[in-house]
Amino acid sequence: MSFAAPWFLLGGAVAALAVIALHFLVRRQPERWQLPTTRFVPETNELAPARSLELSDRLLLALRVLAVAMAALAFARPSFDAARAPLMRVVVEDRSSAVAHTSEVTRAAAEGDRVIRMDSGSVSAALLQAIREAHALRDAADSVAIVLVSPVAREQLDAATPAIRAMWPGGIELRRVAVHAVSPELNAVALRASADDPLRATLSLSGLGMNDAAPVRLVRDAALTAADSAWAGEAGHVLVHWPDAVGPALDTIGALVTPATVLVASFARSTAPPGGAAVAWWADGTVAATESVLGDGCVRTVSVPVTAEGDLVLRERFRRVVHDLLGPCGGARDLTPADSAAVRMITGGAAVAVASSALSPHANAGRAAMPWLLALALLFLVAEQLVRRRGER
Amino acid sequence: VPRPETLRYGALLDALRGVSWPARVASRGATAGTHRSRLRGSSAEFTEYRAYRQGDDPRRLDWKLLARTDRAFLRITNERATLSTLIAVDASASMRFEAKWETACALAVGLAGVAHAAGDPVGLLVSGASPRRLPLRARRGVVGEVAAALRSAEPSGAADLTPLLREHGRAARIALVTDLLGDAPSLLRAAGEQTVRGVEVVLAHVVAREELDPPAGARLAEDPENPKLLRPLTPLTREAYLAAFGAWRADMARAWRAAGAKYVEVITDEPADKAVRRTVGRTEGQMDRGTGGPLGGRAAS
Repeated sequence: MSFAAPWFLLGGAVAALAVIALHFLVRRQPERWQLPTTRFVPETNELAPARSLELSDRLLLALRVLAVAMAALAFARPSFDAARAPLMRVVVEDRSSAVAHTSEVTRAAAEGDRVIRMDSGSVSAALLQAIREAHALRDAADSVAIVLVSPVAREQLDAATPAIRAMWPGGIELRRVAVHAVSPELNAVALRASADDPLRATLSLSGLGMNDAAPVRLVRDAALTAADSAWAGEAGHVLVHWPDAVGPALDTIGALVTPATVLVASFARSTAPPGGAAVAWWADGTVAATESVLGDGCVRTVSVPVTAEGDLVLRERFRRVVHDLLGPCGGARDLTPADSAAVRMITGGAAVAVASSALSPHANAGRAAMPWLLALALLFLVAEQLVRRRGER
Repeated sequence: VPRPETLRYGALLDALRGVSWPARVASRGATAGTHRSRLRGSSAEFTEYRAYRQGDDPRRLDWKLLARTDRAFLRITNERATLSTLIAVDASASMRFEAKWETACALAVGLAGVAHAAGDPVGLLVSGASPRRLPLRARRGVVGEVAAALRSAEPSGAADLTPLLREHGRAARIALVTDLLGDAPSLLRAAGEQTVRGVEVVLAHVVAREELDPPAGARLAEDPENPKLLRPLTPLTREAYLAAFGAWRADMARAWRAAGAKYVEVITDEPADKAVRRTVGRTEGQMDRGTGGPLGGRAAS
């Protein structure tokens, strides 16, 4: 049995001693009794005569001490563990797209380990969850260790990572796995459009070649085919659906915003793109293009009307917009492995296994028995009242 | 219609119906009553003949005897008179203990009822912080007045019964209901003076059962009339207390009897009608038996 707040036991012991001391001190003060024949009582120096210990007195004392003990035990939050493992591990498995081979990650966890999936790719969030889990294992093992299985790319770290890492008193075992290969530079596009499509000029000016085998496919048709969807589900494929006929114009807007640039021009807006993660916005904040994950690839829908009139498609900023919209799924990524300083920050210099005593208990540890013990203490107090009333009678 | 105060003691007064409280000495009263009078008169109750002497009232001559024997004799008869009865109740703080005050009230009402039933004028004196006095009266409802006066009184303070008795104690019979825990010597002196004057003095000494047999355990005894008097009543001091209290009660009984008063010890757990019968009873030796106190056998001898 272990206690989440053992100092309450000490407090309970002090309170019980105080109850015992008070019991005897109060008992030594005899009750005053108005007796008209007091003058016949002999004068003695016996100011504090001791009473014989009556059974009810002992029962009262026992009930009071038991009530205090039960309350102290309840607040000490005891946990009853059948057996404690010598070491338990919390394994953080990086299942994000930054990992090249997921099987390499899943191999790290053994039976009995607590596994935490890191789907988002944020090391900070995963570490926070792992530290919380490690504290919860305080009562189940003598020592606890955290293992991080991840490539630790630069994009997986953020400003909060060092502060979150400092919350764990020991070291962290880091098993680095291969990072996903960085998408090759965009140099060709599979374009399906009419011969006089204005975007052909933009792509030509951007230096992008037309290659049907390119991982990026730009479709200017009104609707996608089943073959398009099947192709988009393959890993690394990006299907950009940018229909040239987007319906009647509803209003005009003066600018288009992508993560890399702002294009100021007059656009005749029509329909909004379908739901998904926004990748481009109009000047008033409404969404101009969305991206949806499809299998291992993605489909991007662009609702930006492109006209042949004017020089819009030839402008440098428009070319940048097109480059953004043809970029890899999830936008631009920095999958460069973190440097050695960042790795040292994560692993730390201390031993990996942290003794349970050094960990703070889980907030809910021992709370299961608490209401029962408090109820027991209350029961003893009620019994004490009953015994006292009977004694007074 | 009986007064509500009387109804409270209805069972007691019913139990005392027919009980008489005979005077120990001949009454000096002139009003016709039930007690033997010192006066000789012309009642129907014949006692003796006496030879006529010059100056006797010729109306008391037995003319028939004179005609038969030619000798002049007077017909002597006993008179019957009332006996004014004053009941003095101690209402000091010590009487508030346990059932002492209730016992004293029942005793006083019972004595008043018995005296009033014989046609005797009854008066009441109540000492205490706010003394009360009812003059001697024989009219209907006087028992209710006594009960009401006692009900309105609250035992408190340390006022003694003696000054009240000296000031208003004008009666042929005085019944004192007290625990004697005030100024007992002065009260005894005042009672002695009354007996010397021919007044019949009856003392009902009220003792609480808890005083005779204090509960076990240790307590700090405090005198209600003198809060500074604090003494530990423990199993060690209990025996000495009981011995001192018993000796004092025996002394009191002896002293009051020596002063010519009738002494009756009344314990609070004794039925009130029985206590009244013992107080008004004629045979003193029998009266003190069965009180539970240490005086029973001694008083009889």
